[in-house]
Parts: sequence; C-alpha cells; structure tokens
Amino acid sequence: MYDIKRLLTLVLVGAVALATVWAGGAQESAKGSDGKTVLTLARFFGDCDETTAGVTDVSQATTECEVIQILTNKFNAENEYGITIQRLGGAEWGTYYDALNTSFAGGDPPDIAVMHGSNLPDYASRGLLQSLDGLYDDYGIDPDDWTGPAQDAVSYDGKYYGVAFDLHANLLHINVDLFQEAGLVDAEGRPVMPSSPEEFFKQAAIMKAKTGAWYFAMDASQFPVSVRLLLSLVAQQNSDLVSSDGTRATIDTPQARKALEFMVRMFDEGYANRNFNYTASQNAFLSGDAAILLNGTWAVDQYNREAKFQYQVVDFPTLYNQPAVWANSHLWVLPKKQNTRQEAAMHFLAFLNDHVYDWAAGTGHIAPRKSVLDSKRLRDVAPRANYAHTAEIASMVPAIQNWQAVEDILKEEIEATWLTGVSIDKALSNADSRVNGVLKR
Amino acid sequence: MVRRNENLAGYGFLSAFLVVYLVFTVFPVVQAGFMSLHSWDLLSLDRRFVGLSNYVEMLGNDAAFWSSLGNTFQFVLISSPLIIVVGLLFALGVSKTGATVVRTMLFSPYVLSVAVATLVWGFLFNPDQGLFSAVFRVFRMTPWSWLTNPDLAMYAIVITTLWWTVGFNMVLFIAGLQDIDPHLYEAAMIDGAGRLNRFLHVTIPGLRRTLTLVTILQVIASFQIFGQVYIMTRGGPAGTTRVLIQYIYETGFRDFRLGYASAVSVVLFILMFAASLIQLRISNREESI
Amino acid sequence: MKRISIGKVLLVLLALLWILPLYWMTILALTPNNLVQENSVRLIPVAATFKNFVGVFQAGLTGRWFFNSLIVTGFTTVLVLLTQSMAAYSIARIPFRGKRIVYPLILAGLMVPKEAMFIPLFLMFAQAHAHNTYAALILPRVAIPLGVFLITQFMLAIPKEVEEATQLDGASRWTAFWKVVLPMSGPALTALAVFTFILTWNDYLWPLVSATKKEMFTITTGLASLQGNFAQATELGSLMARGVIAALPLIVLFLLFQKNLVRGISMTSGGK
Repeated sequence: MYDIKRLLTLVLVGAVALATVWAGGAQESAKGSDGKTVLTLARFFGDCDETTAGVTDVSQATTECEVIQILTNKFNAENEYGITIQRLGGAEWGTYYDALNTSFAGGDPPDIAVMHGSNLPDYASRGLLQSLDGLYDDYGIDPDDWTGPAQDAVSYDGKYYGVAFDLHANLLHINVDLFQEAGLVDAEGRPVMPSSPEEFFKQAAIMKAKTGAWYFAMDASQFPVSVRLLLSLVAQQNSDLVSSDGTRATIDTPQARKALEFMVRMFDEGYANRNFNYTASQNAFLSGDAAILLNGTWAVDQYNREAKFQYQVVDFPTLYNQPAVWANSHLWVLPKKQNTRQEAAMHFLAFLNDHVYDWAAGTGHIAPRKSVLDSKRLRDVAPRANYAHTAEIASMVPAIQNWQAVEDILKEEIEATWLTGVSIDKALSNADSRVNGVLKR
Repeated sequence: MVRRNENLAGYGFLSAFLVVYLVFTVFPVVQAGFMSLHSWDLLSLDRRFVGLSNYVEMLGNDAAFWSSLGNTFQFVLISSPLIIVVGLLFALGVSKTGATVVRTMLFSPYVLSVAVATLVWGFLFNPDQGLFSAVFRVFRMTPWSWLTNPDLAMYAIVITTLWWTVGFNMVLFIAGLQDIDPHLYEAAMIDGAGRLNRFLHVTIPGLRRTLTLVTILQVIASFQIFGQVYIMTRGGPAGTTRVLIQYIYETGFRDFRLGYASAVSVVLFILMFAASLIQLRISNREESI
Repeated sequence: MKRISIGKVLLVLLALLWILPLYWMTILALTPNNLVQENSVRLIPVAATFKNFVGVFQAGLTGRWFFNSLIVTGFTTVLVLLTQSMAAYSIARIPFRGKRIVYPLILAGLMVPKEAMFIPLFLMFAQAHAHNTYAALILPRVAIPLGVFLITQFMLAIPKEVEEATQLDGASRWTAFWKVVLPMSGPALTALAVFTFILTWNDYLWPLVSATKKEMFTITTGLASLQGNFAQATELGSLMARGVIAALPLIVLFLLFQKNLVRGISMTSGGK
C-alpha cells in the first residue's frame, strides 16, 4: 500500500508538470491584441531577421531573404487595412514542402504560401487552393501583364490559382578572362557563344588546350541540374519529355538521345567534370578553373560581386533548332481553409505583385510582368539586360502532377550514363517506362 | 509472495510508461497498418480501401523497393559488425588507460546533428576540395570521387556513420565493463591465463548482456538509416545507395502515397522484428526473464 | 616515473585523428563565408573572424530557441529516466503475468520507422489542437522505449541477492527499486540520460512540422531556418558556426556526466 501511494504521488506530480508544460506553448490568434488581422505566411528563402528587423527600405536588401522580408515588413508597417503578416515555419529549403504538405494533411495550412510553378498542379488538382479567377481586377492585378510563361505557371486546368513572383532559368555564367586567354572572342574581345554542338566541342577543345581549364562546369550529381540541361536541349529541338496532354512519356526519342549523347560526350572528352556537385562546380568557377558555369538567375549578383575575374552572364545559347532554356517560377497561392481571410490575403498578394521590380532587381530572378521586364529601370540594373531575352525563351517544366517524382526518375536514369556506365539506350528506355508508370497514377 | 501483489506491482511500475507508449507509439503504428490497406493520399487525405494490393504491388512489381531493400541489407551487413567491434575496442582501450579526455574525444561526434555530421564528411570526401583528396594528391594519385562512384558511395556512408555513432556503442560497452567482477580477472591471472585468454573467457562472457543490447540496437539502427544517405548522396549515384527509409519517405512525402509508404514501413518493421527476435533468442537461450 | 605505454600513445593519436573533422569544422566556422567559397581545404585558419558566430546570436530568437530546447530536452530526459527505469525494473525483477507478451511488445516500439509514423502522430496532435506546444515535442519521444530495453538489460545483471536482502528486511518493492537497484544502475542511467538528451536536442523533422511558430522553434530547427538557399555553397562558414553552437551544450553535458559512467565500487564487492 505504501508502494502505490508513492507511485500515485509521482504520477500526479508528473501530470501537473506536464500540464504546465502543455500550456507553455504559443497560442493561436487570428486577431492580434490590437485588433489587427494576422495572416500566416509560409515561405522558403531563408531567415534573416537580424539584418532586416524594422527595415522597410527595400534598396538595402542584398539577398533573396532580405528582399522578401523587407517587403513583408514594409507591408506590415504601411498597409492601410490593419493586416499583419506573420511568417510561419523555419524550413530550410529541402524540407519546405514536407512542412507545407504536413500542414495540409493536418487541415491547417497557412493563409499564404509560396511555391514553385512545377508544384502547383499537385495542389490545384486536389482542390487545395483558392481559385483567383475574377479576383484580380478588384485588387489591381493585371494578368495580361504577365508574360506567357508566367501566366502558364499560375494556372491549372484553365483557372488561375496564384500570383506570379518571378521566373528563374538557367544562364551561362562566364569567365571572360579565360575566354580571352583562349582566343574565343570576337573583334571587341567579347566571348563568342557556340551556336551548335560542333562549335561547342570545338571551343571546348581549344579552351582545354590553351588554358587547361574546364570548358563547362555544372553540378552533375547533387541537384537535378542535369535534368534541366536535358530539358533545355530537348526543347531546343522542338520536342518534350512528356506528351502535351501529360499522359505519356516521350523520353525515348531521337531528340532526347541526341541531347543525352551531347552530355555524355562532354564528360567523356574531359570538358566537364562528371563528379562535381553544386559547391564544387561553383568553387571551380569562382577560383578560375572553369570557363563557363551552368547555373541560374539567383547566382548573378553573387558572382558579380565575388568573381575576381571579368564576369559576364548570358542567355543559354541555342545549340539546336530554336532557342529554349529550362525555367521554373515562384508564385504565391492561397490555400483553402476554414476562416479564410481572402480579402486581406489578396491585398498582400497585390502588394507583392506591385513590387516584382524590387524582387527582380534584388535577386536576379526574371520579373514576370512585361511592363517591369521591359522597363529601363530594371534593364539598368546590371547585368539584368544581358539576359532579359531569357524571359522569352523560357521553357517551363511540364505542368503535370507528380513532377517531382518524374524529375527524380529522370535524374537517376540519365546520371547513370556518366556515373555508372549505363548505356544511353537503356537509360532512356528505363526512364521512359518508369515515368509512364508515374503518369498513369 | 502473493501472486496478485506481484501483478499489481508489476503493472504499477509499468503503468506510467505504458500509457504514453500505447498512445504515442502503438496507436500510430496500428493506424499506419490500417493505412497500408488503403490508397491514402497525403494531401487531400482521400482514401480508398484496397486490401492487400499495396503489398502485392510492392513485392511483385516494384524494382525500386527491391533495390532499396538490397541496399539496406548491404548497409546493415557491412556497418553493424564494424561499428560494434570498433565500439568495443574503443571501450576497452579507454577503460584500460582510464583517459577521460580521450573518451570525450572519441564520443564527441555523436553530439552533432545528422545534418552537420554529414555536411562535414560530404566535404571531406569531395574529390577536389576535400581533405582526403589532398592526401591523395600528396601521393600523386587521382583522388577518388567517393560519393559519385557506385562502388565507393556505400562505403563512404558506412565510414561517416561509424565516425558519427560509434560513441554510442563505446559508452554502452564502458558501462557494461563496469559490471564485470574484477575478482574474476584476478582468479584468471592466478590460473596463469594470458591477456587473450582473459579477454575471451572473462570479458566477453561478462559482456554478454551488453553485447546483446548493443547488437540489437545497432542492427535496428542500421536498418533505419536515412539521414546520412539522403543528405550525402540522395540515394545516388543513380539509386545505388537508396535505402528503404528513403524509399518510404519518397513514396509518402514526394509521391503523396501514404498507404503505399505505410505498407513498405510494415514490411520493414516485420524484417527488423524478425531479426531482433532471432538475436534475442540466441542470446537469452539460458535466461528466462 | 611511470612508463607511458605504446597503447596509450596510439590511443591519443587515434583520438586526435578522430576529432580532426571537428577541428576542421571549427576552422571553417571561424572563416568568412566568401573565403570559404573559394577554398574549403584548410587546416590553418585564415583571416579568422567571429562574424559567423555573432550572426547567429544576433538572430532575434536564438535565446528563446535555446530555452525551448532546454525545456523540451530536460523534461524529456527526466520523464524517460523515471518512467522507463520503472518499467525496466518491473520487467527485470517482477514476475508478473503477461510479461512474455508485454516485453516484446515494448521492444517492438524500437523498430517503428519514425518517418512512417509521422503522419498518424501529426494528425493526432492536430485534432487535439496541441501543436506548437512543449507537450507535443516531449511526449512522442518519451514513448520511444530505448531506455526500457537498455535499463532492463543492465538491471538483469544486478545480482538478485542484493535486492532479496533488502526485501527480507521487510522493505517494499518501491524501496528496493528506489534505494537499491536504481543507485546500482548508475552507469546505465547515465548512458541513457546522455543519449536521450542528445537525441532529443538534435531532433529535427518532428519539431519542424509540429512547432511552426517561430517562438516555439528548438535550437535545431531555429538554426536551420537561418539558412538561405544553397547554403552549403554560399555560407558554409555560417553553417558550421551554427553546428558548433548547437553542439557545444551537448559536449558540456557529456563532460559533466561522464564520470558517472565509471562506477567507483564494484557491485559485487562488500557482499558475500
């Protein structure tokens, strides 16, 4: 009997302790104490409170995180509707969608979320997002001002679901000094880009002979950069990896074959390092060991600032029949939820739409609005003018469900050709049948 | 001894833990088992009863499942004996010399989060920038590219895991060595037994329970490896290191197929359970709890 | 003068080699990010700076995150030690009915792949509106039966005679447990405490999805949230600094507790 008493006391004490601890969490509040409407926002781009706390002047921003955070601060400070945007979650990039998906599964998604255009179909097709059809006018958003690819990015099945924030694509980042050293320049000393696979390899050979540097550096093993390159090359041959209705894989095609052969040859003949991951390829470029780095719009300002050589960025070159380059997009969506504050959320989206110039100028991404893209103001921000054309040749990822799975399959199968020695035929046919399996779901 | 009192006492001591356990471990498992019989969408939580068809698909029509299973087995078989033996050796070395600083140094990698530990080793293995490649170059050899070479990638992960987790086994063995009666060693020495004999006939038998503990925990942990693989190679190159938990994670979170992911988890669970039962049976043959 | 054995020398060398990666990590943490970008192969610090560390502490809520981690990890460790050692005692020492089923049932809990149990667990807390609470971070971890298994195995090694002696004096089970068996399990309990503390402190995925409000982040998720895109490539120094900061409290913890791993007196001495 003595036992049990002691036991019970213990359990009780434990329960009391837990109860205090239970109550110690943060409380939900849709209305702040001063009557403001509080909306929750989920985004990636990192966390930079220490440099942006209280800052509302967006010209002070130097990174993606700072631009979006300062814009959010600005909206919170200056909007006349009494809305406060509260940022949720601390996901580092790799786990953003995990956290977002879990919140959907739990029935309590954020009021506003960012996502990639390539992921939109998964959410829109399940009816998880509010359709914004017919709403734009009321908030001063002009969907016709968006470029074609941007419009595609925010729509699904004929309806609009979001507000475009940017397009981001692959560009060629160039070490001008190395090009000059190799003599691959025009009369004014500007690097000449190849306009066909043969020219590519000719230049590569010259670069190797004259400077010993890698002609072409890219992340060939970590992120799906190789898939993006494949997409670009296939699109340039007027083909695609998935049929236009999204029901069939069109991977085992002569165009894909040509593209993959191009990539394998690049590695086999020593013009590109097949073992580079993202960091290594970037390091090689910045330390002057690679003439070209295949990377995206997000790195432009960073390289501009940090390259110790003459740096230039150009559109991805047309090596086949028509210009095209892989692109994805960032857009803002409104998840469907109970107690939706659509009006307040739309005010914030409209605000962001009004500030796409700041985003493009501050990060290097491509503005989705024609009026902003063509503006002298944006073109004057160096070196944006160099790749403004990319907005027109952007080839978006197929707008299908389960794109992530398809991309992973493609990456795994094609990298087998330069990492584990699988034949190109086998890689393409494997990829084709596996992707068909996914598309059938 | 009155029987009833013992039952009361037994469950009494067990109760606090058992309640938490039933609610937060058993119930989710049962629910996952339930989900495995459905086609259950992660995002929309739509669901449809499909009976055993998830299992049929997995076992009959899913090459990625079998390759993940194979990779997992490969990892378990290579890493478990290694990490157990090295843990024991470290514990013996530290116990003998009584160096507490050394003990802390050997244990310290364990305090790192998986993200940081794999980040560090990801860099060490890098063929251009890593420390290992520098060593290769000193000997004028081409540095290996560990993480993109299908023959080396798994070993890179094993080495990383060894460095990161051997401290766990070492600490358990140190604790276990405490319980060996030093008189036994004296008696053995008086009998003229040399170092090796003392080790084989006093230490090892004395460590029997600890060895069981360490082995079972190690095998279970190896079956569940995920973080190191996902961060260092993402299952590459070309899927040659993808392990079962990564596959579960992908089917559940990337492909939104919760039901299917649950089914794979159930299979993994059964495998681990079987492996542990076998180990327990072997070691507790003379014991009854 | 005692001769230093070769064994000891080798051991020290091994230990130094073992922490080499950690040393390198610290060097990177002390190097400015842009320098690291060009060349990360360094063993000797170049232009050492504390900027990466300062940056972490300037992030508004680092203090709060530390506090959260301390609360969650502290409570978890205490609860695990208490409830699971009690459970272990009953399994190791009390002949109660149903033990043959209960023990394997509990062990089975070790084999549950966390990534798969995630969503059912998440839904459970969501329905109870209990996310963003300390309890949500503590309870699931208390339910992992590592301690039960560990302590059971160690308690089985304690000779029955010691306990039986106490009981002959008329003491209850509880006294036997609290005053005799538990103190004798010192090293095992220390090991369990250390492991539980470290594993809970470094838990990432569950706190990530459960504690989504900034004030509720743990130090682990909080520091991860500071990362920008491609952080490995662009801010490696900061990444390493955060890793060092998160790991330091754990090293201190280990240093404080590790002497309990070695028992002063053998268990069987002073007995029969």
